[in-house]
Order: sequence, then structure tokens, then C-alpha cells
Amino acid sequence: MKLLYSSIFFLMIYSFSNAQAKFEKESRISHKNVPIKAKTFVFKLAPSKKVRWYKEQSLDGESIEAKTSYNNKKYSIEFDTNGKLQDIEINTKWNSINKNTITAIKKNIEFEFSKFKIKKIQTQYSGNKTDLLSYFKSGQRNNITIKYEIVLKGKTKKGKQLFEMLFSETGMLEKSNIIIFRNTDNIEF
Amino acid sequence: MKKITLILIFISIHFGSIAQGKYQIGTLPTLNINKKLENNWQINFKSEFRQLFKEGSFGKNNTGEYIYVHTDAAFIASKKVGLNNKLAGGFLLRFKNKDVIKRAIQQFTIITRYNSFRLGQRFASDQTFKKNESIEWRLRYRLTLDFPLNGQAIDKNEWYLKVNNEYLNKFISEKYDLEIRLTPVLGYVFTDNNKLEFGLDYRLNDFLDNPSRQRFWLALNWYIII
Repeated sequence: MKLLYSSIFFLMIYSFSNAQAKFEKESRISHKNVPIKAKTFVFKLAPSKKVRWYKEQSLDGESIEAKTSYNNKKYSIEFDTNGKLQDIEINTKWNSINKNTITAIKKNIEFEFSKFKIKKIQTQYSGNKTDLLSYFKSGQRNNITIKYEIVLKGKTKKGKQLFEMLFSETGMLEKSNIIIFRNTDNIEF
Repeated sequence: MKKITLILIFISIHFGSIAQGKYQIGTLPTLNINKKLENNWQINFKSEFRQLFKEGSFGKNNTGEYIYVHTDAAFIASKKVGLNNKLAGGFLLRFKNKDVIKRAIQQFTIITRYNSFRLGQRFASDQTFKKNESIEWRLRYRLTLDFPLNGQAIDKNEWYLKVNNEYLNKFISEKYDLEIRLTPVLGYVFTDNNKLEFGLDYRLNDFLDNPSRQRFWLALNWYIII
């Protein structure tokens, strides 16, 4: 019995000391804890009744994110903790992207992977608030940067993995990250 | 209206027959240790310690008596065969009094990730070998949902809710039984490699031909990755 208790104690110490270095945490927050300028911007951009607010903590710092749906589109709007806009991401369909961009993106993906399956596409808009609002309300584009964030399942020599890739408006690959899943031991066994 | 009345009558008859059966109340602490290996292999060790505190029949005066039931030790090796799929196989040793019951296990799991929850499906089969008895075959299907109580992902130092629903088809010689399990548990993530869960493990069987048997276990699951 003594041996059993010692083993459990050892396991406890070992597993606590084995914590991951990567630090990322997001939690739901009340709209009361969101800077007014962030709330005002979201209301002007997508006047939806239901907006969920999240605080995200990572090694890069803290940010605030609003998630909402408006006109059948899903919006993720990210701000810094003072309410300064960082970017707007909207779920996008493959067919709605410019044909030349699609060709360039496809070429880049095919170069990286022997097989792939696209899971999610988001168009990322950044710029100043006035320009962005004017673009979304009247279609008038002024100093706005558009990028495409694509989540896909890709097959490489190492096997199948999930990737998050960022492409420029012309389809040039700017960034590619492997998405690391949380452990699934408590779902499998 | 007629339909609703018929459904209500059917439900009350069904639950009436269940409520006439036997029950057991106990604890089921589980230690689950995983070790990741190279080339997408993983090994799992699971130990379960079952104790009974009360048993009897519904509607009768029953006395509570502590009974040690058994201790399990299971060893399973798994291999990731797709982005979200794993094939696994192993064996279990059940130490019951002076007997050691042996069980072979095979399973295939599929994990699907949604925006704010994860869905796990487990297709499993096992064969139990007991002394002087026919082999018991089981075909199992389990659905698991886990979702955070705060935010969209289960992060470090956060609580989550996990619900398991499993259907076990049991075949011994020519006898068949169906067992249904429902396990709602509350979990806490110390780190992604260290989680603790507690809740109810409810099991219902023998309800097809006989008065049912219902088991209520207090589940305490500790998951560690080393």
C-alpha cells in the first residue's frame, strides 16, 4: 500500500512539472468588460443582437475578440485590450474568391502537400476603422489589406496534419503553422 | 393527443419495469496513464478499482454493506491512422478474489472538433475469458462530448463538462444482453497532460427480458500523459 501511495505521489509531481511551455488561453467575458470603442465599432459593422466576447491570453499578450453572425456571415473581430482594432475575419466560401487568387493559392498548397482538404477559409481585413466601415457599408475600398486564412488537412511525408496558412490577396503564401491539437486521452479511453 | 397519451403510457410502463429491478451503488476510481511514442504510437495503462457500498432491489428495505468488487489493469497500444482516427488493441486483467479474468480489447476512435466542443466516437469489441465459462463477446459503441464551461476551448486551469453515452451488446453462448451507460462528469484541466474528472457513471442492463439492473457509480477519473 505504501508503494502504491508513493507511486501516485510521484506521478502527481511528475505530471505537474511536465506542464507545456506554450501558453494560450481564451475565456468568455461580459460585454461590460469590453472597451466602449470596440463595442461601438462592432455595432456599426455588424449590428447583430448576439455578440459573444472573449479575452485571449497568449505569449504575445492579451487581446479581445468579438464573435457574431450578421447577414448569414460569421464575423471574428479582434481588438487590443484598449479597444484598438486589429483585424476583421469573415468566413468565406472558396468560390467567392477571385479566380486568379484561387489558382495561385492552389498552386502554393499543391507545392506543399501531396493531398489536401480545405476545412475553413476566412477573409482577413485590416486597416483603419473608418476605411473598413466605409468598405463594408458602401464597397468603397481605401487602404485596406485583404488576406486569406485557410485551415486545411494536408498530407506530407510526416503524415496528415492540420495547417493554418495565410495568403496575400494575390495568393502568395505568407505564413504556415501546424495546428497542434489538445490531448484527446479523456475522450479515447 | 391520442399519440401523446400512448407515448406517456409506454414510457411509464417502461420505467415502471425498470424501477422494479435491482440496483447497486458504489465508487469507480480510475487512473489512466498515457505515453506518446514515435511514429504516432501511444501506450495506455488504465487501472480501475471497483467498490460497492449498497445493493438491493427497488422498493425493498436494503442494507448497505461494503464489498470490494475487483481491480482492473488494462494495457492498450494505439496507432494514429488518420488526422483524427486511432486504431488500438490490448488486454485487460481483472483481479477478482483469487481469480484473474482476462479480456482482449480492440477499438477504433474518431475525434471530430467543432468550434466549441469535441465529439469522440469509439467503436470497440472485446472478448472476456473466464475459467470454465464460455467466452463473452461484446460489441460497443460510445459517443463522447466534451465542452468548456468557459470560452470556446478547454484550457489550462479550466473546468469542462464531459458526457459519455455507450451501448454494449453482450453475447455469451446464445444469450444476448444490452447495456446502456450514461456518464456525465465534471472535469478540471491542471495542464493538458493532467486532468481530473468526477461525476456519475450510470449503467443499465438486463432490461430486455428480466427486471433491470441499474448501477450507479461515483466516477473519479484521473488522466495523465507522461
